[in-house]
Amino acid sequence: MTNCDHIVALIKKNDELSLKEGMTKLFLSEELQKIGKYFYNRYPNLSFMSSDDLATETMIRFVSAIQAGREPVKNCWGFVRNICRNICEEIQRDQTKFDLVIDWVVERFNASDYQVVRDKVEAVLQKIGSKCQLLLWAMFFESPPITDKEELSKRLANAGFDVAPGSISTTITRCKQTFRTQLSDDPSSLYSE
Amino acid sequence: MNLTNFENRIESFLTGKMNAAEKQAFKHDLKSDKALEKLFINSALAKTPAPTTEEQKIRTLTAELKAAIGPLKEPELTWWDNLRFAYQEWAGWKKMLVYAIPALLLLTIGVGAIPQKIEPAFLVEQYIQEPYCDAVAGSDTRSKLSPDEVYNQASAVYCGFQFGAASRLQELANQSTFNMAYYFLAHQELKSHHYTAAITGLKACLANRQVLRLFKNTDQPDKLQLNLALAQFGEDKSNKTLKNSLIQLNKNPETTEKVRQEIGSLLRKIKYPYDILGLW
Repeated sequence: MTNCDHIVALIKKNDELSLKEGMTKLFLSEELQKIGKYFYNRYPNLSFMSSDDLATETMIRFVSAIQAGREPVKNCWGFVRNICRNICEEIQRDQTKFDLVIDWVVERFNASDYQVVRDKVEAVLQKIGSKCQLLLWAMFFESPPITDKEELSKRLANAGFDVAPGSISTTITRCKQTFRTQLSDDPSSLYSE
Repeated sequence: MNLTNFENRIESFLTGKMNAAEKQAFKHDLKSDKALEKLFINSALAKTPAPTTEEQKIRTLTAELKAAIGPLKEPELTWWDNLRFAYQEWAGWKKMLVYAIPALLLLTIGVGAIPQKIEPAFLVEQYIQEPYCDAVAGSDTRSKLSPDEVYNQASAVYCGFQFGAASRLQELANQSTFNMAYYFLAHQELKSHHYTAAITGLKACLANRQVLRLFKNTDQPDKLQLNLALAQFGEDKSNKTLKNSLIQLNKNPETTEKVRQEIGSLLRKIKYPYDILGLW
């Protein structure tokens, strides 16, 4: 197993060469990849990324933490593991939060006295690309909404997008993130001042 | 409603800490209260703070590193990996194993040293090897009987569940040094939980196998030995003695498969809860 304390010592040296060496050792360590894979398997809502992405994000946060003066007193790999778990928890919390926002937006979208929300949603859907536009529209804003993955896959196929029913969930998660980013750019337009 | 209260409610709603009624009330308030609605949207859609310069530098370095190294081979997770990642956050997880394993062993030995109490009557009822019943009926009133007649009468008394079977069998047994009434009487005593008498009777049967051989399906020493072991357990209530007797019987090449199965079942029943070390 790669020596985690040695990696910490390299990162703390504060010169670029040591930092690169420490990061390379960490990146190549099987332990980090295993931690990423372990948590990736335990959090089903991470399907929009890969276990390798999760391990990379863990590495970035780990290095940032050490540079910011937070370092493991003992049990170095335990510290890495906790960082990885915190990332997963954050993503999960964030997704739950946004699901509630989507509920709220859909409710307003369908209410006649919220034209402002309707305009904003339509504008954002225009910006997020045809695939996501089609998918989110069908899933949330169409009446009645379509939840059947086979049907969603067929619709995407008709529009020229090849997405298997098994990959619909991952695509939806990605689209929701894009939708959220766009909505976040100017949230004020979602409510009347 | 003040701002802190608003924020607390929004936080509770977004983190799923509200019950159904509170959620309903919150949604209602969102519709009627513009200030709450605005705060809700802003807080739910709040952007993650932009990375600091240091963090951005690390991200750039990581991207370069990934591009230079290329895709890594996906690791295989073993059961050990799954176990240690589940507990790795606790610095003392290795220590825990160091202490837990000997503690578990000591507990095993401790529990194993406590014999499991089993009622002999329960084992006798379940494992008694019944003598062969030739379905003989009727009785003879003659004062002196031939061995065949003793067998017929004793068999009829035992197998016919006659009232006062033990005393009638005793009467028949008293007629000679050893006859087939001993055989049925020994089983009758075992069934009645008169273990001392059963032991004497069964030992007599084993010592007089030449007599048993004269009668169909009665010379079955393995069954008699098993019954004897049960009778001895009834008397001394020692799991250890019973276990040893059963093991001995199991080792005997003459023991039939059917009796071996009974021995296996009995051994499992009297086994100590954690008898993994075979210490007794």
